[in-house]
Amino acid sequence: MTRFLELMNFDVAFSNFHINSYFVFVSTGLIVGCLILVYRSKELKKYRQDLFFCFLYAFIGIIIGAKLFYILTILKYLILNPSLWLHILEGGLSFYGGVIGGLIGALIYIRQYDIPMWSFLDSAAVAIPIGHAIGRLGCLVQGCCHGIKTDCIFGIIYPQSNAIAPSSIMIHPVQLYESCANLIIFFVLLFVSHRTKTKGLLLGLYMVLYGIVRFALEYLRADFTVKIFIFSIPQFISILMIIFGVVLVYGKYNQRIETLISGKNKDDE
Amino acid sequence: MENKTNTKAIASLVLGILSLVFLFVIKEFGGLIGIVMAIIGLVLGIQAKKEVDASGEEGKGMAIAGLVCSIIALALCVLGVLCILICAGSLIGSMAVLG
Repeated sequence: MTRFLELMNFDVAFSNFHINSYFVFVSTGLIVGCLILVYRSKELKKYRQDLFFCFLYAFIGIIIGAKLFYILTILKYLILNPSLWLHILEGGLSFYGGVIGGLIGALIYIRQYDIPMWSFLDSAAVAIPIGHAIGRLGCLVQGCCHGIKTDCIFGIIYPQSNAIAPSSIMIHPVQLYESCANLIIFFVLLFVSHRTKTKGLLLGLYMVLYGIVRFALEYLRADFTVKIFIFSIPQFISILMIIFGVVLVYGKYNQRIETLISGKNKDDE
Repeated sequence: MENKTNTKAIASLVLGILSLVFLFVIKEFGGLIGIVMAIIGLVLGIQAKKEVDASGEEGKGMAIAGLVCSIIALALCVLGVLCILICAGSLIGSMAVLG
């Protein structure tokens, strides 16, 4: 595994920007996610151009949200050491910030051009986990978002050449756990999407499933971050996400039953 | 009467090209300026494409070209400059921990 990580971690510089393994995995994740979003749903076939444009709005939201959220998580250190602000562009991105920013970007487009919101959000809920699963492999190879020290059989040792993850000690491959969990969530959502027409259910299900996975995995992660009570910010957001997801699933499920009883379709009202 | 070219399409194309220039040519803060320009170019390009499709104005090609330039610039800026030292808990984190 150490040799594999060493081989996969490349960095090619062109002029003043670099193409590294993280770049390749994240771009592949974004492209696959975008293609699944645009081409999977038969219901949204006539909105394909809008879906692509909506993805672009979401992409802008992802960039801004992911960066702002990352700044928020390390704000304490930035205040203590103001010289770090000069390197702020070179730092990291936060997945949760990206999701919130992306959602706001997509909602702006949906509102502006009148796209069926729940159908779009359901399609996005299926596309996000597969893109995220691929993107997380970039984290694994690069060594960021790494786990805590372990002796278990799944533990990995990063090569000496890795500048981010601690080398020579066995740590949890949290990025790989999260990638696998996302892949499972993707297949679960794909399976459910073929069996239900209740709008909003897939989004709710994604929020609950990913919220649980992320909450649990935070205990295995070695990142330091600002804490709210006893929880880290991602854990706090996971709790909110699970609550919102449960309410959404419950609400939509009840609405579906009422619709079936009354014989009216209220989903797109 | 000759159709008027959509002004948002022209602006999108100009900003898309400028963002690529900033990305490749300007070293200091070029990436940041490039990102801002690409974002504005992208939003204008999308609006121009929708307007041209709806009204039949000229400038569809420009709108698409502006969109493509802005997408390429944004992708390169974000993934090539912003992610240079990767995701959460990387360099700044290590520097802060080490004091």
